[in-house]
Amino acid sequence: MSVVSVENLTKRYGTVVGIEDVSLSVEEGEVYCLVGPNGSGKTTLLNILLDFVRPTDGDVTVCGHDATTDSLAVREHVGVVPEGYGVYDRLSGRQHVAFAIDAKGADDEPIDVLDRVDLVDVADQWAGEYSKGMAKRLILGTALVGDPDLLVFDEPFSGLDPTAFAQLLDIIEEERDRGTTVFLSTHLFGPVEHVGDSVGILLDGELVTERDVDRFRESEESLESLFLMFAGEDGESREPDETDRGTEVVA
Amino acid sequence: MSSLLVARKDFMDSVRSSILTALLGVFILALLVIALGYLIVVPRRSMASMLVYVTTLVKWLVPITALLAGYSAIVGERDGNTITFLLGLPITRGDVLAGKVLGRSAAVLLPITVAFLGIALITIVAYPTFLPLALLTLFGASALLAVVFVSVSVAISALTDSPVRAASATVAVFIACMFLWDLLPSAAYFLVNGTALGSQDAPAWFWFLMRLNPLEAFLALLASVMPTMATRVPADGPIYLSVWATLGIFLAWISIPLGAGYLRFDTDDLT
Repeated sequence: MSVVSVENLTKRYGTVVGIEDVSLSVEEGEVYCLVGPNGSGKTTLLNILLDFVRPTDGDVTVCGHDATTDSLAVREHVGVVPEGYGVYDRLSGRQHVAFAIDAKGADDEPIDVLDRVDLVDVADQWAGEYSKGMAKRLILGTALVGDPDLLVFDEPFSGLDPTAFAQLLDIIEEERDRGTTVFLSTHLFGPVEHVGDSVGILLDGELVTERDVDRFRESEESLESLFLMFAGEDGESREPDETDRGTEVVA
Repeated sequence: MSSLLVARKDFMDSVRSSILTALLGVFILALLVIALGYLIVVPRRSMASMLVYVTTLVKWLVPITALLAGYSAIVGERDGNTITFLLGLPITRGDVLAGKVLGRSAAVLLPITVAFLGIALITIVAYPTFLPLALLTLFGASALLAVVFVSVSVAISALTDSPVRAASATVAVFIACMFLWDLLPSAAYFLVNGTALGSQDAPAWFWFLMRLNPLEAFLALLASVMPTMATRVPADGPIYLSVWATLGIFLAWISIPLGAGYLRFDTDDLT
């Protein structure tokens, strides 16, 4: 069963195209990575999933619920690390987590959640005193509250120090092993090759190709070379091809 | 209820805001100092005349405090990127709006209540005839006025996506209610009659147009129980000048801006 189903999705901001006619699906239990440069439409796509942004055209279903008309039901199943991850300056880390627990009607203990993201020592400090990386880990912690079926992470690796980076990879693997589906966006290739199951490349608002990440583990081909083939080394993108996920790459 | 959850979070967050705390402190101090000062300067006056004096201050302080408390409620969360934290959770945008109104109202009503408890204490001790109904009405009307201006400012914060624009709109509302509104009935009178309103009695609808201003509605509520409140409105006026109609005006000031704010915020892209 598809946890996320996106069909012919288009979003225009006035005359500016956010994403154009994107279709994809994320299957239960997989880690799907959306890769693309800044401004390629990754955030727009994830924001439509969460109803932060309303689509111009197309259909999006998340965990069996329409993302636009039934967003509350969607968000009962989802844990989110949004692109901008603001925290409340005058609430403590513990209070942030407690708020997420209350909002989700979950029964986690705040301190256990903070332990997973290594923030126990600063649990009662105001989040306004946290570094950027700590704030991001806090938001990551709140996303894990209530054992969601789907994790939506927008650029989760940016702003993390190497330790937190490795911890996040571990958390994603743990969550996948528990059967959680992960849909994340990133402009980095390393984490995709490490934890990804599927990857979709988004360029100028169009999904140009999808692949099983296993292919890169088995062959000499790297995600980077695939990406550059589509993006062009000069950054000029070529016409998208019709390749579906898992089909051969014609180099 | 998620809106109560948002309200609680917002109240905790806003009472810790140093600007808001300072403002609320000033509010309590100003009211108590004015009440005590009045007592010392004119000790032989009645409690009613002191309440009239307090009213002139409340009419300024309550709108300013309430507008400042609310204008950044939602646009501030959009600007600081915390809105996606809230809305990534199973919370609707309606919950956020309602929670903001409740939370910010509570943050303003708390000092108003403290200030009025102080004034009650001062007046009980200082005056031989204590006027509980007048004091309660002044308190209730002040609380209503606060909720009206919190609603208006939270609505503004939901209608715009820029904090600067929200601040400008809030200042514009304050100036309009405080200084410009009186021109409206006079202009309407001129359009209807072709002459300016002279010394003759104004028609009832003229007073109704005046009273559509929440600050006038506030004074009208007080005048209904405090005979010493100077009022230019005939006591036996038509139904739309009754106390109930005045309460309806308050209700409209709460619901119409918030309704508009909701419609906009609920469909807006959070980018």
